[in-house]
Amino acid sequence: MLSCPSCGGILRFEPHLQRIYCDNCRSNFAPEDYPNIKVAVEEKEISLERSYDESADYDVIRYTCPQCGGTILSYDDTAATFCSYCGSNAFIKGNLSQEKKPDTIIPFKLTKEDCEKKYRDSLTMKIFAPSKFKSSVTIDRFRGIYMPYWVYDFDINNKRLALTGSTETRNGDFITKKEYALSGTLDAHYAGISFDAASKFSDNLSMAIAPFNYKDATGFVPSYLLGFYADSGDVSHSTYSGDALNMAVDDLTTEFKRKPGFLGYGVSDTSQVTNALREQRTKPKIGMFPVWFLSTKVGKRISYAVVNGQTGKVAADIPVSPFKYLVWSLLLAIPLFLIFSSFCVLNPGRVLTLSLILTIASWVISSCQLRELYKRNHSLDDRGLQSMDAKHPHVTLVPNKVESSIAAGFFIFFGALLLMPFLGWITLIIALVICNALNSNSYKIKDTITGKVIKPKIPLKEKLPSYLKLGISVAASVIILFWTPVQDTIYYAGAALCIIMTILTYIDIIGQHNKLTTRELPQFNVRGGDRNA
Amino acid sequence: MLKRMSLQNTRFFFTVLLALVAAIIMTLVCGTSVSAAKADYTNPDTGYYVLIEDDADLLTASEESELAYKMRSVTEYGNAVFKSIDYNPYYYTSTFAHEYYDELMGNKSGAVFLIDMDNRELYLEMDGAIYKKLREDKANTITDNTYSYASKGQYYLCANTAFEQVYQVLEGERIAQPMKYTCAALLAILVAFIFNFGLINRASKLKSASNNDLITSAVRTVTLSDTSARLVKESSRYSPVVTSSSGSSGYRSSGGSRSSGSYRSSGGGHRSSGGGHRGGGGGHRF
Ligand SMILES: [Zn+2]
Ligand SMILES: [Zn+2]
Repeated sequence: MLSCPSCGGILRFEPHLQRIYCDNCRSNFAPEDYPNIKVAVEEKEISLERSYDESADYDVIRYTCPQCGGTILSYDDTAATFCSYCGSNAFIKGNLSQEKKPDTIIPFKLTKEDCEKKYRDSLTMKIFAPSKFKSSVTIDRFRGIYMPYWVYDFDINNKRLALTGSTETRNGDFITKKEYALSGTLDAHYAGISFDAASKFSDNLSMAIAPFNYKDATGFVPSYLLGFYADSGDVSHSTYSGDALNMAVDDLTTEFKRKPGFLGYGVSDTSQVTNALREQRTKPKIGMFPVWFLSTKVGKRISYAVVNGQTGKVAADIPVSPFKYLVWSLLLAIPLFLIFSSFCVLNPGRVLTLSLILTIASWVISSCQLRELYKRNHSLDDRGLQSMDAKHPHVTLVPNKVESSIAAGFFIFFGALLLMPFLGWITLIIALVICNALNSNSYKIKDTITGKVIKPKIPLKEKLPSYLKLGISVAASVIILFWTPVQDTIYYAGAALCIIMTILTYIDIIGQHNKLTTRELPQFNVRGGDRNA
Repeated sequence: MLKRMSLQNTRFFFTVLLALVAAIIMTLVCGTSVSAAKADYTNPDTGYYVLIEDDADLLTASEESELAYKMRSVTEYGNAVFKSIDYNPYYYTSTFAHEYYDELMGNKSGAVFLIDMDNRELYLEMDGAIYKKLREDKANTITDNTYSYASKGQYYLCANTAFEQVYQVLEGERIAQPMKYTCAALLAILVAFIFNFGLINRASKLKSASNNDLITSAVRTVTLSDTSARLVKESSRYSPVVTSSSGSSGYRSSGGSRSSGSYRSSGGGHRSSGGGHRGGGGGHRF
């Protein structure tokens, strides 16, 4: 803890002022003026004589959670009250630690109040969220953490280019082809293509609050951490180097052709430029980027919410309260009931067909969820975790073309339902076609090393319950619809069976959704010194 | 465009108009002749009648007269007809009911309760004021509520209950349709489940920043200097412009869409053709 030189009060970095601020006497200082931090550990004050700008390390207190092994860096003794990664309330006293100094930092722009407001705003539409997520006790646990990022830079300096280009122009019935020899000097600089370097910070969350604007990045000084926290990275820098390079290559190939000197000459060969990028591979920098971080325990699992501390972008895993889901569904059912009972001619056969369609639709939703769960459980969407663990396949996800958004599908689906009285059986076929299209995989898994497409293999044990429910409903309904018995009661019994199966499927679906919006409690290996990451 | 279309179709419309006029005249003539001949009772105030044609011989003489008495109340609104058949010359019960209705009273208000022993199916066909009040929905409910009597061979009870319920609806009373409401409620709940889950799924998607977002937020400078462009080679080749495809694609779609509007009554499954009545009904097998 750094004491105020005027009054001895507690200093903290104030995001709105972008200065070190004393709440007690309101004096403030530029962060750079306080490079040396005095750290108090175990009642003893250790004065740090080491000059910060000559050393590659800085001193800070490292707190380690006894529950999950997660660590957090801070100058603040409030770090000892709870753990942001597993939500546990036991945090042992920290130890003085020498950490590798990051190369660059983007200071917090949003205060805790700003962040809480953004988070609450994002919750207003989430009417199904459990009330725990909206309570101020929970929201108060937002912590400002500087997350480690790998920052990739690319530079092309005075690269002499000799290229060819060709254009074709039509003049009446003739096409004129012009070929050019082009030359120029290219200077290209990319700074700040960044990926999160902490495996405990899930890629799907970090990518959802990206990007950070690198223009605000500045040199790291430990005093930016006053009142905030920091984390250290554990993901190897090579994990994202390919992605970073590809981004720069993609951007530069489109960019340099648009420059005035080359525009309109039809440059097609870009290999000279991309090779120049590929040739230089410098080690990336470590950046500290501001993230407001909140963890909420949901039973034995945990749910994270993150807010970009620079731009205010929110990404949150919000589970659904089954009770709220039921209540809102029943409320919505009232107008739907009025519509159905007054505008639809519901004869027994039609009721059976409709409930069968709804059963199939719910099965589709459930199998989509199963695939998402597969993706999550195998870390297919998390490059950082893949690199950490040899068990995980090293893959990229290629989105499938057929990926029609579920929402669009629903609209078509309801359209088909409206057509029901006019088309009868054809509706069932249309619905099946739509369901099949929706059910087709939304992503392809591609092995990054071999380039082969891997098929997700969901074990039968997981798939069986949903298939069973679908199978029972389809079998019963199809038999009844072909048998065409005289008694209405048989149709209604079939419809009741479908409805029961559908309700059971929805119980599964909500369970799956809540699994997707929460994570297992983290368990970090207590690694001694992976400061170099 | 409208003018062009109507010119093209003038002949067609003319033919249809002729057919319509002819059909109306025909039905008027037929309708009056039948009703005059066989009515069991004619309501002195409204002129509507009761008619029982038990061709399949399902009712005893006393049952017939009791039923006819019961059916009188319906004549406040339209003709009340009971018809039973042993043999259906048409494939569908609904077709027979429709044709029979047409022949009997055209588009006058009325209700025909048909027991088709050939198909073992009940059918309630209506038009006019009665149809406006009952619609396919209620016709279905009434046959749903009475088919079980027919299954057991209680044809009098079946017809009696049917006309009783027709009258109840006409009088604005409610008839029991518990299954309809139960089904509507359950379907509404399921649709609400789907819809709400759609909302949840949409709201909870974590949307990743695109590569373009990531690169534009990085600091990026691309400069190109000392550029020169030298023309190395210029060549020309003959390639005539193909113009044939551009001319012919005018409007073609104007006429086609009109044919799809043919009316299909949902309850009965028949088409109301040319001069026939526009009502409908509902039925149930037994
Ligand atoms: Zn002070
Ligand atoms: Zn912990």
